[in-house]
This record gives sequence, structure tokens and C-alpha cells, in this order.
Amino acid sequence: MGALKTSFIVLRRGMSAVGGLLVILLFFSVISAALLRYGFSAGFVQLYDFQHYVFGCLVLFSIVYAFWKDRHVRVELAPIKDRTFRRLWLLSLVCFPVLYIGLLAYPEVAFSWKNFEGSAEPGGLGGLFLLKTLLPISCFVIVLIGIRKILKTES
Amino acid sequence: MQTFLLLTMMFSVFAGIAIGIPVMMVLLGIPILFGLFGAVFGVFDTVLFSAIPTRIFGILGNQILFAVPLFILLGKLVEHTGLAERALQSITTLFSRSGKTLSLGVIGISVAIACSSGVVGATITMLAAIALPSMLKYQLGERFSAGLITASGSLGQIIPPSIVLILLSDQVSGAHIANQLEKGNFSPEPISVGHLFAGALVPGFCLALAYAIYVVFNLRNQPETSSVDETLPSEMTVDWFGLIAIGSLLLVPVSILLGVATATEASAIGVLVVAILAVIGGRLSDLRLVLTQTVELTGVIFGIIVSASVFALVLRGFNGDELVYALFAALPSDGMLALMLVMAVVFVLGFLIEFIEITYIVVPITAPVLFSLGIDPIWFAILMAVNLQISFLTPPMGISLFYYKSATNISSVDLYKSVIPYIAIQLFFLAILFFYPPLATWLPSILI
Repeated sequence: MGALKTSFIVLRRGMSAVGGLLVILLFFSVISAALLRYGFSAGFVQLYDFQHYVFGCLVLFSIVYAFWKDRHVRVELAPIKDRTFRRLWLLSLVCFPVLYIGLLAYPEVAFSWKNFEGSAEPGGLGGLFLLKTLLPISCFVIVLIGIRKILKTES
Repeated sequence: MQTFLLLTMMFSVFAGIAIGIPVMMVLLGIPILFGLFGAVFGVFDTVLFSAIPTRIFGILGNQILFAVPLFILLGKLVEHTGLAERALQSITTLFSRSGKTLSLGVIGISVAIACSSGVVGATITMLAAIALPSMLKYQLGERFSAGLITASGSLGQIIPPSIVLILLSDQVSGAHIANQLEKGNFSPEPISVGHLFAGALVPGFCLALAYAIYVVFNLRNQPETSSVDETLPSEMTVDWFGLIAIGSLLLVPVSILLGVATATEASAIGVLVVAILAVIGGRLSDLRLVLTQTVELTGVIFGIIVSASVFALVLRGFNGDELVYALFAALPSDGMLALMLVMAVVFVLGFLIEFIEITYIVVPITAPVLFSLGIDPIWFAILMAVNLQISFLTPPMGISLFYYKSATNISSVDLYKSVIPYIAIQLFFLAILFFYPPLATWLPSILI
């Protein structure tokens, strides 16, 4: 259990660092594309594709990270703070549907891998299949975090 | 059976949100469960679910939304570099001549910060920390000050650049293009973020002006203080750097409005300017915190965007869009009554849920129908933006109220009472905008 706890802490710190890095990368890719466009009237399809990939990674990472840190918006007009109820919605509204979405993504991701799908733009970056793969991985991580939250609530 | 399941799903969603389950989980989980349940009874086609990953990939590649994390970063940087704080401090010092001038200064600096980065939370908490003591010294009253600070601080969400407008443009643009294609126009003019920024400019400034008129009217009997030295605390000095820094960020909305830069480019340029100013001004308290908060807030917003797209898909699977169309088409007066109904629903929802949820739940359901009934997309979007602006102040879930409460000791009752005049002003303005659309549509038509 101790090793599991340590690995979760390492993973969270790693994710925090990766998230921050993605924000910085997004900023640099957008600002460099803008400066190239205004300063040198130049533009690279690869750079715009890079923005797309970084943004995609950031979105998926940030959703997982916000779930981990319990930051997703709650309204709580008449909150129910019962442990069993929390376990129930974590299981039925998070673990099951997110796992289902991960499985639904499998055919598209498999097809993408089969063709080593890249950018739709001519001369664009390859590797779109890797971004697409992040969707089922993110779903899997959310399910893991959800299970951990269920177990944690229990203890 | 289908309609019954649809209505039960809608009720379950609102019930789930009300009992404190995170909104993202409710919008994601409940529709999927209901979809599967509907499939058992043969009233829902689960093939629709296979579109969910494609929709998510669509969000990951949606260029309009690239600007969202960068605007969040810009706002967090403005907050953590102390630039907004310094500008606020300076304005408080400059305008501390009477209660009236200080109140007008609060509105003015809120507009300036709104134009530079659209920060709401930080503006309110900083105004509460910096301007509130002086306002109380001028005996403006706790309630009056609270109302003015929360209402002025919320202007960041209507005056461009604002995340509300970016999200609305994403949704309205999609609905507009789908409607045009349906009408046989295969090269429709898209609605850009620039269109909505231009459309929101006049209403945003009109609201600020309306607040100023209210303040002047309300404080007409306040005594004018003759001597500056009498009122100006000795430790308060004017920090021109802070004022110029906030002023220089005006290039962000101006570049978008003039069509020089896209919203994404402008947000990155804004981040670059703030970073340079932080180096010159010598302060960036915690970059790691800025980045972490940016990632968290990005996750919160996109969690709702992703889950709301699942919700909208299932809603369509249950023929919810046809139900809304039938309801709206049955109303007389060419969509105007339908639009009024939508605005009333948004106003009521504003008491309970936040602007992102409202945008991503209400717009996909109603906008395509309203546009097909002849409602102008920009006008609709700006009406939505003004209406969502009200939701920042309406208790119990008004975000601005939370920010103000976290920074002061005011009682909830006093705080709720304090915003009533401003909600009334906003509603009155919403009515003016409803009956006079050029307020929203004129500027986009000449600028873009």
C-alpha cells in the first residue's frame, strides 16, 4: 500500500510538471507562429500542427489533473455528503461511463495506429495517432483515480 | 417513452448538480446511463455513442478554444505579477478625493482590467482589499461598496477579451454554420471570436456607464472633500508603472477587434507583454503556482465542455432538439417569444449553475432552432453574454459573490441585498438590448 501511495504522489507531481510544461509549450508555439507571421510573413504547417497536439495533450491532462485534485465544479445547493453515496456516484457516473468512453475510442484509435495517422494538412506533422491514443489512456487513468477515491473514502 | 426518459434525464441532471456531484460527472455519466437504458427499451440508438470519441477529438483540435488556456494564463499572470494590484492601488490613490470620485475610479479601473485580461476573481478580491477601506472611510456603507465592487469586478466577463465570449463564439459559430448549410448556403460566413468581441464592446461599456450613472445618482448628497491632503493617506503613492502596464495590455483586445491578430495570437502576445513587464517591474511571485492554477482551471472548463458535448449528443439521440423546435415553432412572433423564453430560462439557471455549464447546455439545444427562426447569431450571443453576466451576481451561486465574501466579513444577506440594484440595471439593459439589437450588431458590421 505504501508503494502504491508513493507512486501516486510521484505521478501527481509528474502530472503537475507535465501540465505546466504543456502550458509553456502552447504559449511558445503560438507566440513563435505569431511572430513569424507578423515579422517575416512566414508560416509553417508543422508549427500549427504542433499547437494542435500540445493543446490536445493539455486539455486531456488538465481534465485528469483537475479530477485528481477534486477541482471540478460542484454546485451543492443541497449537498449529500454521505460516503456510500459518494462511492456510488464515483462508480456509476465516473468509473463506468469513462471506461465505456475509453472502450468506444478503441476502434478509432486502432484505425489511426493502423495508418500511422498524421496531420490532415499536406506537409503537416505526423503522429496524430499518438494524440488520439491519449484519450483511452486518460480514460484509464481517470478510472484508476476514481477507484482510488472509492477505496480512500472507504478507509 | 422517449419523451419520458428525456425529461427524467433532464431532471436527474439538475438533481445531480444540486446534490453536489461535480457538474462534469453529472453531464457525462447520467446521459450515458440514460442512453443505455433507452437502448434497452428501443428508444435510443447506441450507435450515437460511437460519435463521442470523434466529438472529443474535435474539441482537442478546435482552434477557437486554443485561446482559452492562454487567456487563463494571462489572467493568472496579471494577478500574480502584482500589476493589477499596483494599478488598483494607484487608482484608489488618484481618485481618493471623495466617495463619488473613488466609486467612479473603482468602475474605471475595473473596466481597464477587464479590457486588459478579463480577470474577475482577482479584481474583486483586490478591490475588496485595496479600495474597500477607503470607500468605508468615505462612509459609502458596507452594502453600497459590496454591490459596486462585485458588479464592477464582474465587467471582465462582458468587456472583451473574455472567456465567456470565446466559449459562446465556439458554440454559436457551430450552430450558425449548421443552420446556413441546412438553408443551402454552402459557404457561410463564420462567426469569429472577433465578431463577438466587437459585439460585446458597446454593451460592456454601456453597462459600466449605467453603473456610473447609478453611483452619481446615489451619491448626489455625499459631501465633496475639498482638500486632497485631508483624504490621502500618506503611505499611498501613485504607481505609474502599474497603470501603464495595465494600459499596455489594451493591445490584446484592440488587436483582435481590428482583425490584426486572432484571439489565440493576441492572448499569447498578452502573456509575452506581461512576462516582459514582470521582468522590468521585477516581480513574479510564483510561476509554478501560476502554471498549476492554469492547468486546473483549464481542466475545469474543458471537463465541462467535453461532458456537455456528450450530454448534447444524448439529448439529440432522444430527439430533444425536435422537441425544442416544436415548442419554439408553436410560439408566435417569429422567434422573438422563443428568444425571450430562452433568456428567461438562462436568467433562472444563472441562480443555480455557472456560465460554462449554461453556455454548453442551453446554446446547443436552442441556438440552431432560434437561428432557423431568423434570430441574428451575434445578437443572440451578446444577449446570452449579458444574461450570463447577471449570473455572476445572482445568489446563491453568483461567482462574484463568492470572491467578495472570501475577502471580507460581510453577511450573506447584506451581500445579496447589495447587488440587487446592479441586477436590476443589468436586467433593464438586457431588455434594451432585446428591443434594440444594433447595440450588439452595429460595431461588428463596421469593424469586421
